[in-house]
Amino acid sequence: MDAAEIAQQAANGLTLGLLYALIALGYTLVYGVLQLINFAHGEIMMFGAFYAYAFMEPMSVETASGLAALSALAAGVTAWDRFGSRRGRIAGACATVLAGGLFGGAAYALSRAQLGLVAAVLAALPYSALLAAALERIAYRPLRAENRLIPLISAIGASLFLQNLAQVDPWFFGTIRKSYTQIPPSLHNEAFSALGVRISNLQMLIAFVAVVMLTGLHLFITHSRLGTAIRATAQNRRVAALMGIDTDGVIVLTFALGAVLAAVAGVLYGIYLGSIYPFMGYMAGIKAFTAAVLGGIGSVPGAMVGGLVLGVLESVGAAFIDEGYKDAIAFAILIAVLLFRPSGIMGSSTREKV
Amino acid sequence: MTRDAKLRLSGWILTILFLASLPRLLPVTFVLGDYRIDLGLHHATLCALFVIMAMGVNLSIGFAGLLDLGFIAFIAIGSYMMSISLTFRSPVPWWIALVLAILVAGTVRATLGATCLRLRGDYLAIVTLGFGEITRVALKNNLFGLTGGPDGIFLGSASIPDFLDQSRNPVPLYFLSLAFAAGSSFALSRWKRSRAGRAWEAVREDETAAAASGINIFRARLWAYGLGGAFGGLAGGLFAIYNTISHPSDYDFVESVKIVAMVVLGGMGSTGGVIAGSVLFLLLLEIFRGLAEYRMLIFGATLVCLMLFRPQGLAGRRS
Repeated sequence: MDAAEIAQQAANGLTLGLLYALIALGYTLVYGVLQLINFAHGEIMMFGAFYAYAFMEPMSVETASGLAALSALAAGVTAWDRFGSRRGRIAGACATVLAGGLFGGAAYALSRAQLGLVAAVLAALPYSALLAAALERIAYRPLRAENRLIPLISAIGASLFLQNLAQVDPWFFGTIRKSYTQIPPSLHNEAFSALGVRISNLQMLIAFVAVVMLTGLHLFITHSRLGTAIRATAQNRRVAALMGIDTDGVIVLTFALGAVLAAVAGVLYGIYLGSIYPFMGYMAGIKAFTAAVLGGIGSVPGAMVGGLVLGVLESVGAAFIDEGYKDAIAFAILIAVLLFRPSGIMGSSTREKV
Repeated sequence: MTRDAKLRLSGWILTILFLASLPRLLPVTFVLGDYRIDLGLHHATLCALFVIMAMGVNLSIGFAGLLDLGFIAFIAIGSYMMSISLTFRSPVPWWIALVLAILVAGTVRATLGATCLRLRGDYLAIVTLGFGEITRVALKNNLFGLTGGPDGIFLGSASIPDFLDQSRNPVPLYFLSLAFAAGSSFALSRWKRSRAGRAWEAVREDETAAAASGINIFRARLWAYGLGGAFGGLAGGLFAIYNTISHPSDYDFVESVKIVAMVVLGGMGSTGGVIAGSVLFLLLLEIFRGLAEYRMLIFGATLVCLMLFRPQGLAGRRS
């Protein structure tokens, strides 16, 4: 293998790595505040990709209704959670019905309509955030006080549930792989070439979007009030609550932020690999989790570094060893990192308790 | 004899009579309108195999508190070990192959445990998940040129000993599996009250206190881990004969989750509960077979609900 080929693999790996980094942030944010491995995060990414697909293509009445029902449920649960406890039952019930109806109706209308790529992705973001928020409320919050393995099993159950929900035909998407059709062909066809390395417009777009989002998130976490609240909650939830931070709200926020990043990553991943399917979240999710652990779970810059390192190692490694073992590389790295440096590349190893 | 002991004895006799007469009772078909459920003797055999697997997982999760998301890897190792030994150029007798399956699976798991048992609970779970996936990928890629790649290893009638060949007579394999399942359950219920069993429980409940009372935490966990793997190997070896093939796609992540679900459903740590959990789980899978694509959906939702409302399972007691 010559140098140009390795460089090409590295470039492809960097692209994948940026996508892993976008997904990994969801794991790292949630782990930071809850010490929970949100196993269903890959499925949130998958649903984000499918929401965008549904808004881009005209869906059947059944699929639009299915999506509307799911969206209404997610919006209703989230609204009840945010308003019901603070403003009393009547206000909560009104908010629930209103939010459910609004988001459900909008999901139905958007699924029946045909939006452009960018508009569809933007419209998909709130839905994926609501789904993640509802997931947290239903499957994780009641289990916070339990032994860590209990919420992990619940997360696995939620992951299986969402994976199989997406397959239900005709109410959701079925098992057949879908492709985004509204992609300008120039994204794949036109490329920038230098020194024998070909970087397609799509790869540059992915890099641009990912870098903008990662930087934005980093600035949000380090410079905004809400970001400070997230960091305080991650440091010590009880003390943060005593300082007047709505820690439940912060936790919902981390789920929503992770879901937004994952939805964007899911769409880009779907375009990059050519298709989306209900199982796409499993492998991508595990690899992103590996990236998060590799970089140091709980650390935002760590997730970026971990994603990039994993993407390059995987692409270049697969070219050297055997394409068949490609998926095993990520797992081998994951095990090696956990064994030899569980705090990861950027993480600090101070918070290990007993 | 007290009344209680009499009741227990008659319960045992009834159970044994029931299990012994199953080959005569099955197959049965339940019909509810258009919906029919067929239960054959092979279901009973499968149930026994699931009980053995669940015992292996119960040893790690229930007794020692170590969640395993890749347990299927050790079943796969047992199954492949069995198939390789039986189809070798000079095939070995089935019982030596089974012992090999048990030993190799136990050793591999103990080795894995020796390297990663110092990790915290959820990280350990992810490592086991990774190991399970690596095993599957390796088997699929024809590891050492022995595992047959994506086609797996087929066990023809010529490789399976005549009396265990289900196509001739399914009864002996049923009784063999039943005997092993009963033996495993008995062993586990005894171990639970032994010195090692109490050490496992102590480590699970409070590591620091256990260490302070002189228990070598690492060694206790390693034993639970290795022994659990040996049960996986046993179940896998029998599973190869049951299935007449060792195929990589039979050993994916969802299967690991299913076994965990059986243990969780029955009640982690309770031997009787885990048996009930395995049987119930298999029955539910069969009953809902007609629901095809909704089955795993319901499975996922059930797992969440179980964690929310009864994490201690059917038989467990809440601490």
